[in-house]
Amino acid sequence: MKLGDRNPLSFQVDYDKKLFSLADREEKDTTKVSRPASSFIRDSLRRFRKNRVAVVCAWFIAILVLFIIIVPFIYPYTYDQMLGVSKYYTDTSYMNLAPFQYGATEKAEMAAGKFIFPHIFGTDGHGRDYFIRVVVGTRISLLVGVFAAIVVLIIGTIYGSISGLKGGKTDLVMMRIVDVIYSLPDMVIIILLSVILNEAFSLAQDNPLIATFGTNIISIFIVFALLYWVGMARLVRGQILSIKKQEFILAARSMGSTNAMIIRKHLIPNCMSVIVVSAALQIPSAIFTESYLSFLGLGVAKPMPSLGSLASAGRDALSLYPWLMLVPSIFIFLIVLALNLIGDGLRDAFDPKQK
Amino acid sequence: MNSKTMFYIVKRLLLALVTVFVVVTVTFWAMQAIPGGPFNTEKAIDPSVVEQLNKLYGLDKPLFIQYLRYLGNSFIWNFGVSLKTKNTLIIEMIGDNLPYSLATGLCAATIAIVFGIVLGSCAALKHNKIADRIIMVGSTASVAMPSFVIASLLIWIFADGLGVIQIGDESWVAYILPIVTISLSPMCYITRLTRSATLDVLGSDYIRTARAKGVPRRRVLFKHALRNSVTPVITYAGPMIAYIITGSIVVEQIFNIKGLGRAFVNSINMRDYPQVMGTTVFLTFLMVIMVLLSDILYKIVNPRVDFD
Repeated sequence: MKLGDRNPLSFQVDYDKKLFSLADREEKDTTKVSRPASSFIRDSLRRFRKNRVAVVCAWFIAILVLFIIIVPFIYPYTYDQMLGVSKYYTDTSYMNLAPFQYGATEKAEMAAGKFIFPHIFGTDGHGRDYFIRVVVGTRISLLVGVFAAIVVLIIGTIYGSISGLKGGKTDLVMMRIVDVIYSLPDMVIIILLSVILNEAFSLAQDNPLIATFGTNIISIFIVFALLYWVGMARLVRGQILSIKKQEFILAARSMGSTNAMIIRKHLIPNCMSVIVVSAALQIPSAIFTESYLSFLGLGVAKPMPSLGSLASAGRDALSLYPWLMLVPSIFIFLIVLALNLIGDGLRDAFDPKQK
Repeated sequence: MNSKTMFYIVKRLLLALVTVFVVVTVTFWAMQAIPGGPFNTEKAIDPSVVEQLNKLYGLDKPLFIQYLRYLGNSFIWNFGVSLKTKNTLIIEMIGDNLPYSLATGLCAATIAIVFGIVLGSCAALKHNKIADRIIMVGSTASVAMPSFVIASLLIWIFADGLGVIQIGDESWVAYILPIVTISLSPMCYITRLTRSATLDVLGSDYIRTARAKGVPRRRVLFKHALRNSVTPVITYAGPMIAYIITGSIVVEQIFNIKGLGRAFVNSINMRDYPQVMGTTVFLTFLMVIMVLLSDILYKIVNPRVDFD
């Protein structure tokens, strides 16, 4: 290189081409990403699995669900079968049995060498096996919770995303409606609507849907569909608004992504965390609401049990037969606790700040 | 107070009005959905008597006129008369019971706030130590029980078992257990809020600076940290009031203490619909006003906060 050829202040560097050679395969491989690309969901699941408490709770709920599905098929008693009650004669020895006790005729049969399936949680005041009632009650309570969560999920997500995507005046009007519903005293309205709907549905009791579930359960779903979706709608709208403003959406748009692609590829995955967490936390809240309504006599129709109605029925004889209240209460406690902890675990797992 | 705060207050006032309007409308049309009129009884009444009664209560007018009247009456708190208790104005019944509910609710709120902040700060200061673990497990577990279960257990232990407290007593002792029951859930929530806020604050730079300057630890905690860590608690004031109002419905019934909640449940059980409606509208008024006040106060105290 000769210095005199160009301006001495120039920073230009003249490389000699001979100094370079083509990279071979091995060298090229070093620039490859060392870790396989990991999706958001997979990442979150990995974080969730690290949360030992949440995983234990998830297993608990999974096993419980299997249990309550299978047990009623193989259990020798049914939830509405009054033991010791026949057409002509009522055997009071079957009523309010303590756990693992037997009625008079059962004792006689056992003395004769016959195997009688034990009443694991005893029996209630009508001589019905309490274990199967608790199992069926858990079934009903969980069903109420899951259905309520689904109703909230569908309505809230659709409403929130329309509001967030449209923006402008549509958003303004839609959000004012949400504001009003949000500030209603939910429990009072629920009680009111349950009372009314009970009366209104009592005319249509022949309807098979109402006959199986009872008017109260239908009322609970209607109430959830009317009131409880607003929290979800707010969350989804907020999430969509904040994502919409971000640069990667602008980048995607400038590269020619259509609206549909942006919604499918960017908005939905980014809203998933909010939706899943809030739906998960909706289940215990619905179970709670159902138990309150049961306590007020507005729960599931008799003789169908739910955990709330079992607990509130057991309250009357708490000092005499404490297990009638304690068993369903412990079930409510464990289920709600587990679901809350799963919800918390999911929130932590989805929280991008933790990445 | 700047114009933005004023705008916010006006907006909130309008929202509160609309909320009350919606509740009144819902209650009125809901009442229409109940089959049968108010004078349908087991014993047959002479049609002419029913006609007279309908005329007396304005039930012979078109529905829409009835609705407008109900709407107007609701805003001046004229909820009409009870169906089951003779010669009782619903608003009188509310006035009779309200002071008890207010006293219970106020005590519960105070206990929840004071104990919640203390426990939450303790947990944050002893982060990941045994005290923190116990407080967190306790506060997570307590919210997993419906309040009627907690109430029943308390009665079982303290009234039936130990015999220290009489249930349904008129003295102040009878109010201890209900207040504990109502305050438990908000207390746990405030504990968790305070704990996470305090942890955030304690990790921030200005606390370290204060300590580095040689400000005593106690002074840093009370002067610098606490003030900032209790701000989230104020945002919870609105939901807490709502919770206490609705929570007391069940709790008053269980402990059989005088109050609006017990009266409400009784009117549900007796199918006294005008009373159910009246109490619903009144509770809505109460809640909307309380939440409105707490939100506006918060906005004035801390203008940076944006609720939207």
